[in-house]
Amino acid sequence: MKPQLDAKLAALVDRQLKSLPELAAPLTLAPRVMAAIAARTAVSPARGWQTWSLALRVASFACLAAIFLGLCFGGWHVTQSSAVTNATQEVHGLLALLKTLTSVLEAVLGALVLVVKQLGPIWLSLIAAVVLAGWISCLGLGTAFARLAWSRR
Amino acid sequence: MSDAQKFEALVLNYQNMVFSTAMRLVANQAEAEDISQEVFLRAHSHWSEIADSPTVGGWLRTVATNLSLNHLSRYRSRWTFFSELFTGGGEDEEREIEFEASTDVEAEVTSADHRKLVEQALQTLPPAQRVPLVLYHMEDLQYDEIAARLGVSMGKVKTDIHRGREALRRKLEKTLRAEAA
Repeated sequence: MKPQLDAKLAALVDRQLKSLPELAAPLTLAPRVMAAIAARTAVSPARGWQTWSLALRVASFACLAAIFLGLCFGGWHVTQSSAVTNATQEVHGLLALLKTLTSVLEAVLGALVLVVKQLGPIWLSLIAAVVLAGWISCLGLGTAFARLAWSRR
Repeated sequence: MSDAQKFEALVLNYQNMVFSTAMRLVANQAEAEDISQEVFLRAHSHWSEIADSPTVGGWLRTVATNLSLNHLSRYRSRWTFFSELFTGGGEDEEREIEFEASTDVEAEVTSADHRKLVEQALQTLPPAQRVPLVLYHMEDLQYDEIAARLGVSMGKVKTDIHRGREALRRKLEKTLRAEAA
């Protein structure tokens, strides 16, 4: 290692590089930048509402307010008509039917729970074993049939 | 003067500096131009903060350096690999420099033409040498700062700068000899 030569070279390179003038930017750079900024600042609905010009913001707000008021008035007007009253009564009828069905289901489920409680652990285990065996045999048979079907193709 | 005019004046005043910073780091005109455009777009986004700042030049230079390094980081694994492949790969390796006629270069490299030669020689250095060399000598970053920015060890930064200087000297000697012949 020759530290004095190393330092000399470092100083030489430092002087040479620092003395380099700035490179000239391409003539297209400034117009490109200004065009990109113009495109960016141009109003686009895809940009945030806060970035729109004040006039556009006021106009868009007025439009939205008018649509909202129209919907409110329309909604209120519709609820006053007889057709809506009839439709409401039909819905009430359907809901009553659903309520009846729910109470029937509740009774059936209650009876089932009572039966299960009466059976005891031995019968319950037996039933569970039968269900499990049935499920396994369905699975096995299904697999066997599928393999048979694929092997024949 | 409107804001748009003021901004255009800023672009015209600083475009060479921003472009040079990017160009010396990425060594590719199209990429340097894209980076420069992005620098000015960011400046436009921060216009309210930098419009009247006296350090706007430094701000632009820092952003240009950061964006260029971000751009280069996509290829860093590739050039780090090649750098180590061709030079032995030791992180803290130090090598003796063999000077042939090193100091003669300085005497000759003075005119505008020779500055152009230095610029060209710099551009042809491999990125692994050029980037730390530019950051150290032109952006005035310290070894530890360069290591942190590039995500490599300080030993590697020192070695790459060392190799870059020598490669630059050799390239210049070769070019000058060829011109003289």
